[in-house]
Amino acid sequence: MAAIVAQDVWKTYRGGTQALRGVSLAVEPGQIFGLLGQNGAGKTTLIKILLDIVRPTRGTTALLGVSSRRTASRQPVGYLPEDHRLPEYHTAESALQFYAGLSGVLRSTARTRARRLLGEVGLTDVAKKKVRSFSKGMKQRLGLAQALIGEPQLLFLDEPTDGVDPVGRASIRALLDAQRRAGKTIFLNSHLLSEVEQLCDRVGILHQGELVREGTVAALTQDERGLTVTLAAPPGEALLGELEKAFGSARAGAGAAVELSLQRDEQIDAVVDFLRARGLGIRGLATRRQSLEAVFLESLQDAPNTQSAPGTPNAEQGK
Amino acid sequence: MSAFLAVVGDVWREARDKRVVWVLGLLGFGIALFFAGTSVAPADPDAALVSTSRKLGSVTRKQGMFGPTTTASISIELEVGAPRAPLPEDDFPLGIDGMRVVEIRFRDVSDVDQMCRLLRGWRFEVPIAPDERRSAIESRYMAGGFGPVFAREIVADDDGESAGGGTRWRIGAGVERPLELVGGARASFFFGATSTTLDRTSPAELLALVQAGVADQLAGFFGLIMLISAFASALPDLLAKGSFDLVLARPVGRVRLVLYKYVAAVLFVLLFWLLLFGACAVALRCATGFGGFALVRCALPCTLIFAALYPAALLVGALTRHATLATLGALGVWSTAGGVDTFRELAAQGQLPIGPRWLAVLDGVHHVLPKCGELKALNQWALASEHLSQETMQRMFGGVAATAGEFDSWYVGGTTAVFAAVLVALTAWFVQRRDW
Repeated sequence: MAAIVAQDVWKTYRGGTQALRGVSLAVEPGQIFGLLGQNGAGKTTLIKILLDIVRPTRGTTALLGVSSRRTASRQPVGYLPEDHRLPEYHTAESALQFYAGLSGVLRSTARTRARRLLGEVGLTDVAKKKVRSFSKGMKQRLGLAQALIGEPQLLFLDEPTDGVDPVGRASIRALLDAQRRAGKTIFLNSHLLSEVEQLCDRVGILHQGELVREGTVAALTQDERGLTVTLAAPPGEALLGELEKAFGSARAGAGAAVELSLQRDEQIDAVVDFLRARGLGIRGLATRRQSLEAVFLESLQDAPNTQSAPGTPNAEQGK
Repeated sequence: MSAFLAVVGDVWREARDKRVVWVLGLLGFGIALFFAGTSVAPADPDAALVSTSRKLGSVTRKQGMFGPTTTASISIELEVGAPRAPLPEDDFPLGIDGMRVVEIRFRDVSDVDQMCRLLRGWRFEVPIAPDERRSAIESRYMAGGFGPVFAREIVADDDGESAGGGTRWRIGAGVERPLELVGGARASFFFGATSTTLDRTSPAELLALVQAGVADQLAGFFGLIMLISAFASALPDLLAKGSFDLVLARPVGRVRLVLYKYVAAVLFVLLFWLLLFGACAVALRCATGFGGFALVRCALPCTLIFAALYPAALLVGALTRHATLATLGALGVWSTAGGVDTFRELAAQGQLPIGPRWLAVLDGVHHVLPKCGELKALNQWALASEHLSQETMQRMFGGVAATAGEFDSWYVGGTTAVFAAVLVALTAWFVQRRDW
């Protein structure tokens, strides 16, 4: 059973703004799923629909097999919203105890957990201070602690490292890593592609309300049409010309490498046969990996432009 | 249950964060301190009896709802004898607490009738029946804090003396409530720093009035406004962007959240008033020996008024997400209810020239709105009924307070509860159906 399921989810806000267009995805238990997209792509709307904060126009969602419309579906959930606002009249400790209470955690347990979590996010020294005196980074760390206070099985994090300094980011990443090791499922929205690349098992790319790419990080960053062949000797211009004529694109790489862009996977065999037929020694063969950023940008370029006609509000405005 | 307790804790913490609540608490503490420093000494019964006798020619009346309180006096030539203990030949009932007897002589026979006419409200029709004379004189002494009171006209043959051209009366006045005696009592304030003689009022009236001031003005007016404004931001703050998400992601339904917020605020207000009124009552009891549970009981009507008006703040707060507008919404309902009550009373007194159709509209609106006026009158009734005689209560608070105990509590409580429930339900429905 998938931990998070969205099936054909559509959302049209009042005023006609389409935020989501038939999004379907499934996140398996224990996975960290990263959702990428431009501002206004519909990432936050999707999380809010999964948590029943926003109701879908069409489609269904479920958390650990329980429909999101049911209150019980949120029992195993922790959520850190983007631009969250913790009540400023609370101290760090009392805020955590408040959210723990809402999650059904007993008062004595909540107190112990709050102290432990404040230690984990580095806020022990300010446990008794009012939230209003906190910096943005401290609030973000406290926000993460409130998401974890119910010891959730599912964590929804919307820009968790937003406003946090590099040291803080590293500690948050370590905390998330610990959650992954503990078998928690994490749904992560982030603009920081490097962060997603480091943390996530699977990634989805949302563009104008549509899920345009989805898969493991390795699969998405694997450029299956890019092949680097290291020869026994540097290639001559003639060889490069012949390769280009036969396979479309070839250029000299570093040392004795030849870089090729292929149309299909089967062409890899053909390239090997081509080189061996000319008696050239092959010392290495590697498919090239793209950065996640490159995949993301490419996905946006490739995606059909489903942007509404000029004058129609876009998803960002609808939020 | 843990979710409910969490919301209660959150709402109370938010309230404690508001300056107005502290200001109100300090005000209450100041009043409790004032009570602790107040002491009263009841009037000497003989002095009060003479003082009341000398004031028989002066009648104080309130003219209409908004009319001035006026004192009308007629010139009465009166001789007042020395008060004494009752004698068997006085023919007064035995066993009455502290009964004192005084004989008075009206030099002009018609003076008693004039006094009766004054009591009737300046209606100078004749004649005055003998019984009316007796009951008028008795009522004047009862207004002076005596009770029970017996008046007997002394005819010349009774004791062989001449009436001397006037009319003589023997008054037997019981003193069941020494603190209600008017004339000659003393009150000191600020731990004896200042003191005064109470000529026109009794210590009981003074203390009941001060308590009524706390219940009606501090709690029922300023306190209500302050507490509504303190709690009006609860829902707008909760529904604010970035704040509600944190709560909605928890396994608590939206309807329950709204209900919990409402109940938590009402509980806070109840506890707040119980503490404040309790402190004032204890201080007053220790300092004067007067007062008791009645002031603490006022916490309930004050809380009920808050509970009736606060849903309006919740609804407006949910619709506008604006704390000031939420406060104004609740105060608007309160003013409307007060205005309707006033118009109805004026119409009942014939001071508002409106037809039966408009009167029916006023009655209809009155049915729907919370009964803040009736609930507030319960305060006065509770305070007065515990320590004051019916006559003193009537004199102090007028007809409303005197009859407040006879209100149809099911009607007052029921219609007010329905109003509050409908508004809370509307708020919950709005919060439930919207995207946030």
